Formats: sequence, structure tokens, C-alpha cells
Amino acid sequence: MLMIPVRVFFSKTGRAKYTSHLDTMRTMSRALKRSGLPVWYTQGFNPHLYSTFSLPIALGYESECESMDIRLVREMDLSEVADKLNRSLPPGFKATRAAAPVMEPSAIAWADYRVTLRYLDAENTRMRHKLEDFLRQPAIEVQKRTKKGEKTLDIRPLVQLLEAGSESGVLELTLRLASGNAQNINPTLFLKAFYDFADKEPDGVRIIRTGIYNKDLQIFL
Amino acid sequence: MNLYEQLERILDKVQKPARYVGGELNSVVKKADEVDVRFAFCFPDLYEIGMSHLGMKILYALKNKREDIWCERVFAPAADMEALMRERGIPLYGLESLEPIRTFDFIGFTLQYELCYTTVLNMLDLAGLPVRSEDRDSLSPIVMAGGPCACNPEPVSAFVDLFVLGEGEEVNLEMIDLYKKAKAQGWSKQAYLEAAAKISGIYVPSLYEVNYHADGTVRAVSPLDGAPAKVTKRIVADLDKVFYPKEFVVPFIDIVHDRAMLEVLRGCLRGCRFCQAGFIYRPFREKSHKTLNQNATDLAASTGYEEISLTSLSTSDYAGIQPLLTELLDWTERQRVNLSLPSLRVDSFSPELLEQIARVRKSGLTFAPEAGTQRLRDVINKNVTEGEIMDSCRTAFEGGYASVKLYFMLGLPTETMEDVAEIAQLAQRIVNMYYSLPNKPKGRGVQVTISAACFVPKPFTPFEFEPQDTMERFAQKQRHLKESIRSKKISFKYHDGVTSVLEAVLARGDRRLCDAVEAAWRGGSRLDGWDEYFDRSRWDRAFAETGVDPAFYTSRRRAYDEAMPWAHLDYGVERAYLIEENRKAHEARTTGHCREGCNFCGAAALYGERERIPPCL
Repeated sequence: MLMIPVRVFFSKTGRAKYTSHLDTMRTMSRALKRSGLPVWYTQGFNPHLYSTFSLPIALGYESECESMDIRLVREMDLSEVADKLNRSLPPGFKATRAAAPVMEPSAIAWADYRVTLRYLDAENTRMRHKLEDFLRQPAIEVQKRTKKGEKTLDIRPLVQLLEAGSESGVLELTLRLASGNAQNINPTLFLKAFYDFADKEPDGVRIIRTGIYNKDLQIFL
Repeated sequence: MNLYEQLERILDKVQKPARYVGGELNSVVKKADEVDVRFAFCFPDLYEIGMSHLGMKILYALKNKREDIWCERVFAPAADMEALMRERGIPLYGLESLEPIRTFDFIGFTLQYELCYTTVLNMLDLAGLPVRSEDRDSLSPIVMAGGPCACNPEPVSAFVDLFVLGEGEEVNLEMIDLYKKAKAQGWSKQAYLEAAAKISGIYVPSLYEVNYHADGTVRAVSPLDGAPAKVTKRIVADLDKVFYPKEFVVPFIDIVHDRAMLEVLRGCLRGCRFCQAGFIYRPFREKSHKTLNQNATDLAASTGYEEISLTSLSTSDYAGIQPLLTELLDWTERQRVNLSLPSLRVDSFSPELLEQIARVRKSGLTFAPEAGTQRLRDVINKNVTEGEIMDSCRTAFEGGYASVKLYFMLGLPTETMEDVAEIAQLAQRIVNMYYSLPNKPKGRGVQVTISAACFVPKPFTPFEFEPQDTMERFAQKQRHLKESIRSKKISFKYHDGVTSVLEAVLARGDRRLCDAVEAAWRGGSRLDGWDEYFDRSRWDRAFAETGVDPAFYTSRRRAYDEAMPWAHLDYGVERAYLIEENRKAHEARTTGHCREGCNFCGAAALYGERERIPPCL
């Protein structure tokens, strides 16, 4: 049977951030079904629509760069795939493009996040200085939960601050965090360590993943 | 800060936040200033339960089809969310607009089971409204309720302004149209309720006065201010013309019944004497298989669901089951949509039907003999013989199944300890039969699961007169059944009788129970249907504080001439018929089903002016 691998890139924003990965998979699978796209089903006793996701975003974060690999059983213009899927997706989910996969998911090494911290008491400028102090430390040790229990990890080499802006009660950061199979730093892990260091929690947090890269910082395609 | 921003601050602290933000596929968002009536459809349980309910899907789509109405969904928050909402002063809101429901025109509850009553009060309170009808003065919001428990709404009559009896498709819209007039003309709430009480199927409890005899039983229920002496439930006569949604809201999170549902028929032609649904949903009406195939096609296309279930009280009684399955399987297989057929009767389980289910998916099979002996099955009019049970199980085993689940009830009227022990013997005979089969599934042992619920006598059934077993008696019977099981191939599942006894109090209670319901809620009760929320001591305290003796409602046999608290409500089936059926039960005499011949239960009168004699079938 003809099987054409296709990587669909999509964004998950607004209220869609409350959809967990498992629920996102189901949402996508139903949208694909409604779309009428000629998708491949696994064979066997209980066939199901084949789909696999690279570095799925965690519950509570938005993302502009999710991807899902599917297989088509009929040749078609791949530029139509995103349009067709978009007509079937619930609000908050939007397919941005579809193309033949270029990289292996295992090539993923970094991800960028835009983090907006809101301080109702206008402490954002002070917090920006705190952040600089925080990152000036030679090591940042955090407790990370793993399958084998808690372990201590120095995340300093795994984190880069690309940009920081501070205005009207808001501290906006662009973070680059080690991501993927080898080493994966969740933005909350970094932020919690910062809150502890600054001894202050923001009043509001918004986290959007803006890009995924390989080790040479090429965009994941 | 708008409500969504407030929610964002708390949703990362709660389990399953997707329950609380809406935005699902096919949810209906309108502009508030472009509608005349805003309706909060409240399901007094968690999202996963409420979103599985077919009636809500129907009425949600029906109302939203009208341009002047915006109907939103509201569910009870779990304890973690409720605590944060109360702490931050976030009122109960509609999932579509994320706006507080306090300012809506209607707050409508569906009452699917008695143990939801405290949740209704909790939701009103979370909305920021007084729980008692008399403490809400203005025309809006009107707090209304429907669903099966509306057949005896007396224990919640102090909290709800009006009840809709029976099927809601027509009467809900009549109720809303009258409200639009009332709102435009500036009527008082009282004026609206008095006018609404004249709509067939609407019951306004504040327009009735209840008097009691010295022994505590009801003496009379008298209408006031021109309210009708009897309120008759509504039905929709022709199911091929009834509204059915082309779309279901498709949730993000996994819910209990996450599939497209087809409503195959309404009512039931069987007449099992314990079954309230079998009596209050009469008369028996079916949809044509053409309509159903169309419904299925629409839903599959709009939802992307991978499963369609054929729902009803007894789907195998659907006359067109074979043509329907043929029509559906023609395209569902191609589109990789599974069909599921719950509610199959033991006696209708044929190899052909099994084959069609097997083409779909092989899960466990469930049968409901309800009682262990033929005598007791005759008492309850189950009309299933042991031969039929054995044949069904044999068919299942020969078709490759190695496990069956059997549903029973403990505490049925006239039940003896022998009847209880026979449940275990019946299961044993099924196990033995399995091992005697030459073509049994190879290399697999059989598993027979007995699940035994505690019987709750319900209004509008022939058993509405019956006492319920006490908690101690239920426990004895459960022990006896457990000790009667001799095989490791048989497992036994049961639940203690506490909630069944509470359910029985509320099911047949009168309006004096309102105080107890409120006291239980004030004491912390809500989501009582969940083991992790239910606390018996809160109810014990509530009954003690309000001077209610639960045994008065549960353990007493009610005389045939006793006025029931729901005597002023008419569900079609006549009292005389229930009495006759009760008498036959005590003589272990059965009654045939409606297709074998009309038994003149009275439900045909619900068709209105038409001929009384068998229009049902």
C-alpha cells in the first residue's frame, strides 16, 4: 500500500493549552477523520489512525510549533492538507503547514519559549535584575523528578536567556532550553528555581513555545 | 480582570482543567447582545458525567438552533476547583461565554438521580443565588428542572421554581416563549409562574399546598391560584419528527460515554416492575431506521467519533434492528466507525446479533437476569427464563467470549435467602455449562461476574408501595450471596446499601425533606453519588436536625389507597394499573409485553385526543 509520510505543523494557543497530550492526540485523530483526508490506519485487530507527535507540549503551555506525523495513502498536494485539517479543528488548534518530514524527532536538541511574567506590584524591573543575578550563578541546581526518583541536576548549561524585556508590570523573557530525548528542561523547572531564588512568585505566567531546533540550531523540519 | 484571566490563575492548580474552559468542537458561542434569552443548562455532576448525557445534548442543540436563545453548559466543579472558586470569589459560569450564570434568564437542571440534589443547591450557591425559590424575588433567573427525578420533585420543591415533566423538546420552548413575553411586559416572577403553570407539562410547586394526616402520610395536595389539579407529563408523539442534533459537542478530555449516540426508541415495552424508566418513559415509540441512519450519518460527519452506540432502554426490542444494522454497517465499516449495542436483552441474544456485534468489537458481554430464581423473576416481571439465560451465555461462549457479567438486584419484594443463594447457583451452572461445551474457546478459563445492586422502590412503578430492605438486611444478603459462591471462576461485586437507602428516602419523599436536603448541603454534602465525596454522617445529622425519620420513607409498606407525595403528577400509567401489577407481583404472575397485546396501562392517553386503544404499537 502507498504510504506517504507527512509532518503536519500546528499551533495550540489560548484555551487549547488546557488540552493534555493524550487529549490532543484524540482531538487530532477526530479532526483528521472529519477532514476526510486519506490517512493511513494501522493494520491488525483494532485498526487506529496512525499519528505520532514530536516533543508534545505539556499541559498548560501554548505552542506555535507542534508537529504530528501521519501517513497518507493517496498522493495529494500537501499544501491542501493544512487547509483541510483546519476546517475540522476546534478553536485554539491551527495547522500551519504540512510537508515531508526532513529531520528525525531524535534530532531535537533545543526549544525556545516566550515567557511572560506579570507582577501586579510593578516589581518587574527588580525581578529582571534578580534574573540577571540568578543566571550569573556558575551552577543552578534543581531537583528533577525522573522515573528513578528525584535527582539533582545543574540546569545552568542547559538554559540560555536570549532576550529580556521589562515594562508596565511585565517581565518578558525568551528562553532557550535543552529539549528532546537526551536532556529535557521544562520551563516550569527553570521558573520555579528562579522564583525560589527571587523569593517571589509572579501574579500571572504565560508560556508559549516558539521554536524547536536541532543541535546546530536549525529549525526542526 | 475578566473571568478567563481569573481562571488562568487557578487552572494550573486543578485536576483536568479542560473541564472548566469550554472551547470544544461544536460548542455554540453567540453574541450576548444578539440573543433575547440566556439559558444555563446545568448538570449537577462532574463534566465527564454530564457531557455523557444524551438529553443535555438534545436540549442544548434544540435551544441553540433558535437565534434568540443562547444555551450554555454548566457542570459541578470538583472539590479542588470549587475551593479555588470560593477562595477567589469566582462565581459559577457558563462554559461557552465564561460569564456568570447569575444574570442569565434561566438556570435549568436535569435531575438524573436523587443523589444529585445537594449538588443542585451547591451550584445555585456557587452561582451566587439564594438556594430557596422564595428568596429569589426577581423574574430572572428562573430556576427550573427536568429529568426522571422530576416525577417526584417534592424533596427539592423548595429550591426550584418550576419543573418540566416528561420530554422537553416542545415544552422547553413554550416555557421560554412565555418568558420572553413576561420579560417584555415586565411581569413579576409570581405572574410568570402562574401563567407557566397553565402550560401542559409544567409543574410549579409553590402553587400547591400539601396537607398531612396525623400519622405523617399525605392527606391532600391542593392547587392554588388557578393551577391545574393534575400536571401531566409531555411526550413527543412522532419520533421521526422530533428534533435530533446534527452535532454533538466533542470534549477534549475522556468522558464516560465518549461516542455518538443514536436514540433508537423511547419508552420500553417490557414492564419490569422495579424499573422506573420502563414506566415513566411510556408510551413505547420507535424511530424509523431511515431517520436513525440519517442521524448517524450526520453525527459521524460532524464529530469524527470512532464509535456510534444505539441507545435506548432495550435496543434489541427495536423492531427494525436488522435493517438498521445492515444500513449502518454498510458505511460504518468503510469509515472505520464502530457500532455498539448496549441494553440487549437476554432473550433476544441470537447468534446473528452476536455475529454483528463481533464484526465490530469483542468486549465483555453483560446480561441482566436481575434475580436468581424463576419465581422472583416472575415477581418482578423480568420475563426471562433460565433456559434463555443459559442459551445466551452458550451463544456468547460459542462465539468466542469467555467472560460474562450478570446484573442482579438484592432486596426485591418477596425475596428470600434461597432466592439470594440461587444467584450463586445460577452463576455456577453457567460455569459448568462452559466447561461442558465441546467447542469452548481454547485455553481460556471462564469468568462469570455477578454484580448485585440494592433495590430502591421508585415512584410510578408497581413497587412504589413496597418497603425497602434495611441496611442490615442488605448486608446480610450480600454476606449470604458471597458465602454461597463456591467457584473461583465467579466474582462478586457489590456496594454497601447506605446510598441506596438514601436514594430510597429521596425518591419517595415529600416536601418536608427539603429542609433535610438543605441541612445536608449546609453540612458539606455535595456530589453524593461519588464514594470519595459521600459522607453518611452528614445526612444522619441533617435528618436528626430536621426531625426526619428516614425509615418512614423507606421501610414502611404503603397502602394502595395512600396518597403519594406525587399524587398530583400524571405520567400516563394509571394508579389502578400499578396496583394491579403490584398484586400480580405478590402472586408471582407475569404480564406480557406491549407487542404481545396492550395491557391498558393508561400511557396511550398521553397521545392526547387520539383513540385510546393501542395507538402505541
